[in-house]
Amino acid sequence: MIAGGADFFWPAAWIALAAVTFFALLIGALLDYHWRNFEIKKERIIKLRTVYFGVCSILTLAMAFSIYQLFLL
Amino acid sequence: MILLEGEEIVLEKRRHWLPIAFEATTFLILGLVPPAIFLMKDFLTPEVSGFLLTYKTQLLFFYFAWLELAWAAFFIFWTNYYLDILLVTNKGIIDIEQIGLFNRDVSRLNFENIQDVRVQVEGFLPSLLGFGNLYIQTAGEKREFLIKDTPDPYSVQKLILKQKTLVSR
Repeated sequence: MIAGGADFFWPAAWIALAAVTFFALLIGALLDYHWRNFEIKKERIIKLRTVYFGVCSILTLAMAFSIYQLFLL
Repeated sequence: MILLEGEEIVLEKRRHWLPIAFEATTFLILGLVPPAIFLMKDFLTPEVSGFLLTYKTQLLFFYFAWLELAWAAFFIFWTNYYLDILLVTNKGIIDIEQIGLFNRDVSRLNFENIQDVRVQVEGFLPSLLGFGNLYIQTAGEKREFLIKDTPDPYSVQKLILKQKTLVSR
């Protein structure tokens, strides 16, 4: 039993984490396809990719860390 | 690339940033609402503030998930804005409209087909910041082209007419 929570939170949290990460990666791949094909100045693409995936990674790690914090409770 | 052989870009214009900034603010508000509610917990009913404190870590998890979804949605929105572009080349005009991720409309206008270029600046902010709608009347099947929220539309109008004169010589 998790303090202040419920047992069902664990599988739900991991599924939510996987679903959100998958969605962010899928959108990232689609956006990357558009930037590569339709952006006029190609050098901007690398920066865009870095910004998008960088922030997504930070948020995914933050989600994983909050699950870990629950584990410590 | 959409350019023809020997075609060179003379001008590249995107929509003015102001209407986009207004829409982008929605994403910022979406991101700020959950922490704002949490900060105001002392002013809420004891049940709600109790719930917020008890499930703090779980709510933090959903907040990060929420932020990631909002971030992806913002980038879809921004990409739709960024890939919407008006290109004036030495041969004609290319109007690219990115409606959605799987919806793209590319129109090409040759200078010979352009009959009239009209500018409409409507409202206080567009007049102050210098952006407006550009209407291009053509002899083609699609009679009128509308390029919304063009920054500095008068100079674009002038350039199109100048290029048209150069081509018709």
